[in-house]
Amino acid sequence: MNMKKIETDEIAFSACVEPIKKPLYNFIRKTLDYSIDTDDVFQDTLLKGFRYFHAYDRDRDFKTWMFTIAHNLVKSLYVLRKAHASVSLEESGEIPSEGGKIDSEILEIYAAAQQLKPRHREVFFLYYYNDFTVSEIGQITGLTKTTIKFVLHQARQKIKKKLEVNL
Amino acid sequence: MKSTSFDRYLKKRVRSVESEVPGHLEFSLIKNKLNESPGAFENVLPLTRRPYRHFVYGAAAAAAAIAALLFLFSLFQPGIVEKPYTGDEVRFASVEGVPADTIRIQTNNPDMVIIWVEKNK
Repeated sequence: MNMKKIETDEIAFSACVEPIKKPLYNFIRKTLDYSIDTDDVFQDTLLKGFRYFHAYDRDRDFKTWMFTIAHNLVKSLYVLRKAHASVSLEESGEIPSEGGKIDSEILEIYAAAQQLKPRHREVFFLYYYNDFTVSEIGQITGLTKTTIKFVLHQARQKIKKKLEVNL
Repeated sequence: MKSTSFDRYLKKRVRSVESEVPGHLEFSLIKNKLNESPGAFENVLPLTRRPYRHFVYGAAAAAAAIAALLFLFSLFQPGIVEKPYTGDEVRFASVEGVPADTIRIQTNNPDMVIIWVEKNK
């Protein structure tokens, strides 16, 4: 690959990444429970995406492709490092507060999401945060539509229960 | 999937929490760092997806390779052969103390095992 081609790829990749970098970063952050590994995984996702950008199938949605890379890296991380140094959502200082009062419902939802299995948590955030369809989540995670619907149903029930108990 | 009111409520709540991408994670900066020290990020995360999968694949590949080798070996391994040797090869052979000029060998490995020696004259 000559230098000109690399530069062209770099510009094209940067342009494609720009609109999705925030949802991608937040997806990784949420899926990894605000772990300190978030930055490493995000950085590695971008580098991997760029490295294989030449092989990216232009017929495929770029966002789905990048999330698939992130999904694989998150999965690797879960297998390799069982213990994560993570912080609670409250500690992360990202909870919107109204008049200095922290929104307890959001805390409950995120606390319930943290209790989900890693794979389920990933599906939960892909659907509820990133607004992917069930079919797109299937492409990213390799799970069947039935499994995804089941996972979402379970997550919903768990959160509903938690909110009912605490309200 | 049909979106219920609870779904919409969850989406709204979940999306209300998000953070900006830190400045040091801008792609151009990451790329520059990579250009300055190639390979710097190679070990951030291993390329492997699931190490145990590689172990299983490796074990399966090794088993298949051994099976293939055994199969090939069975194809090329000669059965028991019977072959007469004469001349120099039998210069030192003897049967019951009498020198023999021909021996007949019946073996899988003619170099190693002589199971029968016959006096020819």
